[in-house]
Amino acid sequence: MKRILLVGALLLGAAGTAQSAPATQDYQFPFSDPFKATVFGTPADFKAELPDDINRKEFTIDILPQQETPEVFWFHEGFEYSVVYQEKPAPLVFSIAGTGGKYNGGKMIALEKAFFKAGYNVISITSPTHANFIVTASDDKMPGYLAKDAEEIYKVMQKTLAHAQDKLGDKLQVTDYYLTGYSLGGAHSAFVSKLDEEQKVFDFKKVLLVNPPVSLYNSVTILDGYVEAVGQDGLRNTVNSIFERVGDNISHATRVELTPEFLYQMFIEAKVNDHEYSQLIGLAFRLSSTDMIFAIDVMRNLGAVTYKNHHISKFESTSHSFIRGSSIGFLTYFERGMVPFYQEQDASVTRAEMIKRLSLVDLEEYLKTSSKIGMVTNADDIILAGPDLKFLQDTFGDRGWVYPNGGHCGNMDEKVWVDDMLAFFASSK
Amino acid sequence: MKQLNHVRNLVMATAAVLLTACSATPDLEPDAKEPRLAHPDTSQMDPRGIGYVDNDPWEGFNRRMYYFNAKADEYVLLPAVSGYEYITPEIMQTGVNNFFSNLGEVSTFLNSLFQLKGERAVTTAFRFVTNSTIGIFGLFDPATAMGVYKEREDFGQTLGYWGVGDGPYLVLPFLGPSSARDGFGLLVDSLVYNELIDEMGLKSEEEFALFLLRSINARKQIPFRYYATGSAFEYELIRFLYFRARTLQIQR
Repeated sequence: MKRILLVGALLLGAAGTAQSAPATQDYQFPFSDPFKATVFGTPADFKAELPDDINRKEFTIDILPQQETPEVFWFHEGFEYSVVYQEKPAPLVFSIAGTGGKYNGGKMIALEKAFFKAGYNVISITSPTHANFIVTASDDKMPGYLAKDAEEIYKVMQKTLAHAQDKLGDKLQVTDYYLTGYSLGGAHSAFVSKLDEEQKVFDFKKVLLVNPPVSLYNSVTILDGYVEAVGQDGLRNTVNSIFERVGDNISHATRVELTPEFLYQMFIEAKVNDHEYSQLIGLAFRLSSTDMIFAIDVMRNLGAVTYKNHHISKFESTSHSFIRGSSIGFLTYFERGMVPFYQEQDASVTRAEMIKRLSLVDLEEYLKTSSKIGMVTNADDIILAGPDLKFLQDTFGDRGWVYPNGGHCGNMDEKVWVDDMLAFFASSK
Repeated sequence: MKQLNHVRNLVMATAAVLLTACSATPDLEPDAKEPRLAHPDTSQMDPRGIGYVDNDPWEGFNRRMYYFNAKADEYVLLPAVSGYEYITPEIMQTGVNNFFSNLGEVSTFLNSLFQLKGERAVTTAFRFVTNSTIGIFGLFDPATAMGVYKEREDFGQTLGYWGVGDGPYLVLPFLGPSSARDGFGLLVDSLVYNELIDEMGLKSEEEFALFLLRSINARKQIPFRYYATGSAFEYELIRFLYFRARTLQIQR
C-alpha cells in the first residue's frame, strides 16, 4: 500500500512543473559492499516481480550488405537484436547495453521484462563495443568515441525498427519513443539523445542514463587498474586461489546445485574478499576488451594481435591472439588505437581533448538544460572517480537520483529501483 | 545396440587418424606480418590458464569438431529438442529425464565403489532401488524428495581419483569437450550402460528410439548455446572451464 501511495505521489508530483526525482526511502538492497553488489547483483528475495513470458522476438538483420564477413567470424551472420511488442499501439523504448554487452544479456532482459509489464514496446541494442556490432554494423570499427558511436547506434535504431515493423506488422505499433542504456550504454544514450535533437527521427520523450560513466578514461583507468594493480601473475594466482577455495567448499557441500544462490553461498564460505572481487570484475572487463580488440584488429587489418594481411581460417588457433590481447586493456586500446586513429583524421585533436570528448562533460550544457533526460546511479558505483558523482548530481539536479548502495548496476532489478525507473518514464505520459 | 557400436567404432577409427592429421597453425600468406604486440613468454605459464595451449596437441582436430558440433547443434540437435518439447507434455519430459538419470546411477554406483567411496555407493544404491520401485522404473524421483541427493561419478573421475592425468583436450563429436582420459572413461561407462539396455531385451528399433530419446534429453538438460556470447575465444574459454570443472568433480 505504501508503495502504491509513493508511486501515486510521484506521479502527482511529476504532473506539476518541476519533475521531482523519485524518493528512495523504501529502497532495500542487501549489499553494502559495492564489489559484492556488482558481482552478484540483486538476490532473489529483493528482485522486482517481473513476468517470465513476454512477447519477444530475436531477429538478425544485414546492416552492411556490401561487406563480406571474415571467415573467423562465421558465427556473426548479421546484426542481432531483440524486440518486445505489445500487440497494440504503445510507446517504444530503445535500450542500449553496457561495455561488451549483448542485446540478450541478463540486465537487458530484466529491462525488457520491466518495460513490457509497464506497457512498452522495447528494442534492445548490443553495445558498439561488442564484436557483433563491430563486425556487422559499424562503419568505422573503432568504438569508444561516443559521438561517433552515437551516429552508428542511431542508424542501427532506425534500421532495426523498420525491420521489426516489417516482420511484426500490426503487432508492433509505436506511439512515442523513449531511450535508455546502462553503464557505457548510459553515456551512449546521452550522445544519441543529443544527435536526435538535431535529426528528430525519434524525438525522444524521455531519456534515462543508468549508472553512466562520467569520463570513460577515468572509469577505464579504475577497471583496468584492478588487473594492473596485481599484474597478470597476481590475477592468475587470485583466480587459482578462488577456484581452489570455492572448489573445496563445493566438494564438501551436501548438495551441489548450479544456482546463483548456491554459488553465492560458496563464495561467501570461501571468504572471497573485496580485493579478490575487484580482480574478478577486472578480469571480466579484460575478457570484454580482448574480444573487442580482436574484432577491431581483424576487421581493420591492423596487425596488433593478429597477423597483418592474413586470412584467419575458421579452424585456425587464435589462442595466441587471446594471450596477446589479454595482456593489454582498454587503456592501451585508447592510447595506441584510438588516439592515433583520430589524430590521423584531425591532427589538431590533442590527447586531452580526446579524453574530454569521451565524457559526459562534453555534453554538460545540454544535460543541464534538457528536461527530458534523467539519470540514476549509486553513491558507491565503482566506475565513478573522485569528482564524478558530484558532477552527475550537479548536472542532473532533481532529474537525477542516487541510491546509497548497489555498486555498478548491481541493483537494476531491485523492486524499488524498477518502480522508480518506470515512474520516471511514466511521468511524461 | 550392435549397429550403433559399429558406427561408434568407425567414428573412433576415423578420429584417431584425424586427431594428428589436422593442423590449427596459421597458413600464412607471403606478405603476412607477425602481430605487433609481442607474444608474452608462456614457458612459465600456468597450465590452468585460459590461453594455455600445451594441453591441446590435437587442436586442429578439436577445432574442426567444435565447429561441426556447433553446426550439428544448430541444424539437428536443437531443432530436435524444440520438436520434442513441443509434442511432449512437461510432466513426461521430466519423467524421461528421471528415467535416464536413474539408469546413470548404476555407473555412479560402480565408480563410487572403484573410488572406495562407501557412503556415496550406499546412497546411490538407495536412490536407484527407491526410484526404480516406488519411483516406477525411475520415472519419478522420490529419493530426492527424501533428501537423498544425486551424485555423479564416471570412469574418467575414477581414473582421475587414482591419479591419472587429464591427457590432451579432446572434443568429441556431438558430445563436446572431453579429454583423452575422460573420453576413454566415457567408453567404459557406455559399456556398462549398454549392458543395462541389453538386460531390457529390447528390439533393435526400440533400442534406437531409446538412443534418440536419450540424446535429445541429454541435450535438453544443457543450457549452453554455441557462440551465445559472441566471443571469438569461446573455444579457449570452454577448454579452460572443462579442465577446471573436471578437477572440481574429481575432488568431490
